[in-house]
Amino acid sequence: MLMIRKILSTLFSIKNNEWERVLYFFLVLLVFFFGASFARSIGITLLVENLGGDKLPIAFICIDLAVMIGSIVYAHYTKRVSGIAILGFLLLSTTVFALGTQGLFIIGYHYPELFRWVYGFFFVGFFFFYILFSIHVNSVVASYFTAVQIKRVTGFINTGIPIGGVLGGSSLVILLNVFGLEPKILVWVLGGTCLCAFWLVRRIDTRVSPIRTSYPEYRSNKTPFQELSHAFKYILSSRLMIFMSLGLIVFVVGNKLLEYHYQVIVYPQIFPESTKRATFFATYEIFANLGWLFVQLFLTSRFINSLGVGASNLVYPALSATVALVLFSYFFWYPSQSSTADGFVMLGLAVVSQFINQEMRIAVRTPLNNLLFNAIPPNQWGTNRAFLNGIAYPLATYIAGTFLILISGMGTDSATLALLSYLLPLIVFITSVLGIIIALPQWSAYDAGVFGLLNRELFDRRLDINAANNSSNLKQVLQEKLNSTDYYQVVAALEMIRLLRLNFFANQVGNLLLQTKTFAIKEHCLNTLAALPQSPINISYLTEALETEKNPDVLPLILRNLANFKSTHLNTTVEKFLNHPVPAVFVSACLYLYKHPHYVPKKEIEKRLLARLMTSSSANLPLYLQALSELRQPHHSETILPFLDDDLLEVRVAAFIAYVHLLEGRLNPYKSRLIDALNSSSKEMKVTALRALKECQPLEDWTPVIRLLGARDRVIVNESKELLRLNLYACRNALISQVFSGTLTVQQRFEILSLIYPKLNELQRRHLQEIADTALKNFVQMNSLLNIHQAMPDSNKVHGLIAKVLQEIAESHLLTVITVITYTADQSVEFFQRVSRGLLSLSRANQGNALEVLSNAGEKYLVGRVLKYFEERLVDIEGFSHIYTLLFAESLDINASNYEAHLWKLEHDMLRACLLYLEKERTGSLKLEHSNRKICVLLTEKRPITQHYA
Amino acid sequence: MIPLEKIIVLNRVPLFSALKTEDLHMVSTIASEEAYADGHTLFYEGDIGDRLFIVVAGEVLILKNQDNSEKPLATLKENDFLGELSLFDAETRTATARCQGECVFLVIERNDMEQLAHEYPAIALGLIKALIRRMRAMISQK
Repeated sequence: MLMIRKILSTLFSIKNNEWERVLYFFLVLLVFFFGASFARSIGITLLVENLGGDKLPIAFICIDLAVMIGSIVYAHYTKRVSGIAILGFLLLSTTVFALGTQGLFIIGYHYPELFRWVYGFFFVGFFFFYILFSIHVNSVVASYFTAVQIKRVTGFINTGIPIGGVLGGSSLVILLNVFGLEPKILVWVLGGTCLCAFWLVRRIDTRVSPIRTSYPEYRSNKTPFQELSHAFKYILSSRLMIFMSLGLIVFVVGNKLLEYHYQVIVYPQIFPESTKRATFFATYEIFANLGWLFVQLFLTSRFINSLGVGASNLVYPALSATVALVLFSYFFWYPSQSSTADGFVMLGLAVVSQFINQEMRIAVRTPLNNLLFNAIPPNQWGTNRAFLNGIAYPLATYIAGTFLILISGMGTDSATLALLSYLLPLIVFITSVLGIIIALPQWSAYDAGVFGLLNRELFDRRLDINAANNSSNLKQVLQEKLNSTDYYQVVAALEMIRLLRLNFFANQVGNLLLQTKTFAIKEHCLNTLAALPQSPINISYLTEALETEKNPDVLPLILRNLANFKSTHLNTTVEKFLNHPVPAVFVSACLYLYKHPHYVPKKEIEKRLLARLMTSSSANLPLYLQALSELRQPHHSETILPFLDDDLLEVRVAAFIAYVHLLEGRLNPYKSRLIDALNSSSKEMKVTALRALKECQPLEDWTPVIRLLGARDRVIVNESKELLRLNLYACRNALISQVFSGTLTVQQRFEILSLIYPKLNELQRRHLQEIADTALKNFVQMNSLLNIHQAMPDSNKVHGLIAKVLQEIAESHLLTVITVITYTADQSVEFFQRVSRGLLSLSRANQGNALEVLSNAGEKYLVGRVLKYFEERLVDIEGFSHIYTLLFAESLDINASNYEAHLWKLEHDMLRACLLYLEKERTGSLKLEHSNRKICVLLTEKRPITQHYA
Repeated sequence: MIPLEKIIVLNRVPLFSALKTEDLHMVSTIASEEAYADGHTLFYEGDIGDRLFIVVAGEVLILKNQDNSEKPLATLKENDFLGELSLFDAETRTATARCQGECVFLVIERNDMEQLAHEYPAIALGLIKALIRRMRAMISQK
């Protein structure tokens, strides 16, 4: 059994952990389609026999109408009920319908005239349930697999359809011809198989959990029509859905025309007798089903995996275009009704076109089209499928139907048929080319969609914002919020006005500034007024605020704002603040006056500031130093020098910043001081030094700057990067040698690569790939260690911490791999962030989406290995050993007996501290001989305990 | 307690579960060890909370005022913690906490935590992640 499973796993690329789900869904399809093949044959036979073939078009219209209405209701419930429950309901309903109809058939046996309508009812009813089941089952199957898994398993699962069909058809033939049973007493078979399928669905529900499903918070309370209109809006805002809808319409039109071509033009000419034609169809069905099974089992999943979902969707329209072109070419030279047409060639062409049109559609187009839903949030699947199948599909059918009715109206004489024999393929060729054209942007929309799904929150929020943009009462809403008593509402409104620069709110913001007592609101009002275009309105409010404001925290803000209005002459008013006791007010007044073009006694201001600086307490020194730097007088740099060595860090930082500002443009001689500042503990000092170094000559040693690429603060990282970018020619070799060193953090490597990746040669790029491969190896090893560690009893204090450290080390190795993939595949930072988040997420759906994005990225070697690892559900060390050997062709030398020795080999301070601590607990002695300072601090530094005893 | 022991204790508090070990190390620098005598009241119901207590040793009785008397609600032991959310807001304590026997705590003040989070945004992000995790768990329980 295990051997068979292994062979099947290799043959169909199905992992051990996926078999249970795959088999259940395969059986559901097999059982349902077994019964469906009974019902389909019985339905059409009884309808034609009892109501006449002329009722067929009416029956088809009824089915289309019923499906349309059913789709609306279905879309509604997909948001409220789980997919598996809907599937169960559909199967149960079909069972009740089949058994009920069987009862009516039995009653109708005695009253044939009275119960003739039952045959139409059964035909329409069966196809209604059949179509809804076919629409829905794909969503359910997809929800039990990740985006990457479904690509592999979909082929195998869908083979349940032809196998069920063949078995059902054969059984029916035997029951009818060998046992001589009447078709109308076999309707219960559909009920029985649906009941079996229902039982299987219940088993699935209890044994396995869905991976991708809509969250309860997304469940809506909309009416069915609102759901469909929401789906319509979604389709309009989603490129992928637009292309899917257009692709479906084009496909259906081409499909129907091609069907007409071989069914009405070619076959009747080759097989004028209906008996011979029926025999041919029966033979065709057997071989076609076998062909379909072969394609489904061995080809579909393979080319999906090698080409990707987006590209694979080009296959069907390309096939269709090719066959249409061949048909057109042949029939153009040898029209169907002419004596030159060769019957054998015509038959061959008709068989090929029917196989592509019918079998390849189900084996290739349908599963590939279903996979496009990977790029759509699961909570949108139901409504969007309902839209495609309930509206777009019938619309396309009507277009094709109308066209065919018009064609039929041209007559059935040989000249018309000869004309149609090449005209129809030409139209099909055009629609197929259109299909290819649509599939190209659909491909990029799919990739973008899967990428977007990695950030679902952003995705959903964007929809909300789009909805909000439609509202025209933004002004009214902001006015209401400005008058609100809720502080947060007011601040939100002010922020909105500031960001959108809504000038017509200037009066309201100005009045709020004068009236409010809350500092934070005043601050936001001032920031908003500053952001609005300068106007007399702004100045008048700011001037009035300056005259009336008493709060010393607000006054500097007003003065700073007014300083932007150079044309306003408020110097006399501002001069009064030069005597203000609060330093911040004094400084703001000084700066206002000093920078004002019409203020003359600037020297006086300088003197006053310097006097305050010399006599000030340490707490106010940073303020005065900053003010002095804003005067931009280089000779003051000498005054600042003593403060550079002050005891207080804040003073040192302010002095350094002021010093750099004052010497702007002539900093090169002071480069060493700037380089020293890169080691400061102050972020401001580092940033100022980095900015200042940009105007200096290139450095001799770039190590301090490269080190800052790994800083926790993004501003420092960006400034370091900018400095390196500006000096790329000078620092390139240093960056290249660093990127291949083993001591870099993930962040440092990522940032360095962003600077130099395009400059690396082939050899260096290969080396980088080797680094990534080693990182992947380390990642697997770390996870193996973690697996062994977690299997051990939690008997010591450091157990949890060691697990966390191992997890972090593993993560950093994985991030190194993703970094290299990002650059090799020419992807963006956003790609790196989303894929990392996805792979490190605990949700398997997110992991699956991340893997799907990775597989579309364009890098094959590393991605293939990452996929192999993540697709296995590794639970024990044997599993890790197996995947390690598979990936690296060497055995994994990690087991429970040597795992601690492996931990000791890892260069990680926290881990080493944990191990030393553990050893101390076991032996009673702490051995710190070979430990660095950090480890010693972790294990020895002890602060006194604060005792609160009475 | 040595820094590593503080990190071990902090690692067991769900609020800090999403923090990296380096961030836990940072938090350990603002966590002080405090000892209290038997019967000492850490805080009363209605007090404004601004400290997180993690029980390192001893037991703490949680009491609720009902009909002018204190009714015991629970007893907290080693590795339990009190006032987790006081690190974020200044809401009042919902119960009284009293030491039962001699107790040792690891204490974190809101102001220190705010400053640390301001300096190292990754820590703030880690705390937000832990809170969101808890919020999701609460939503799915409803």
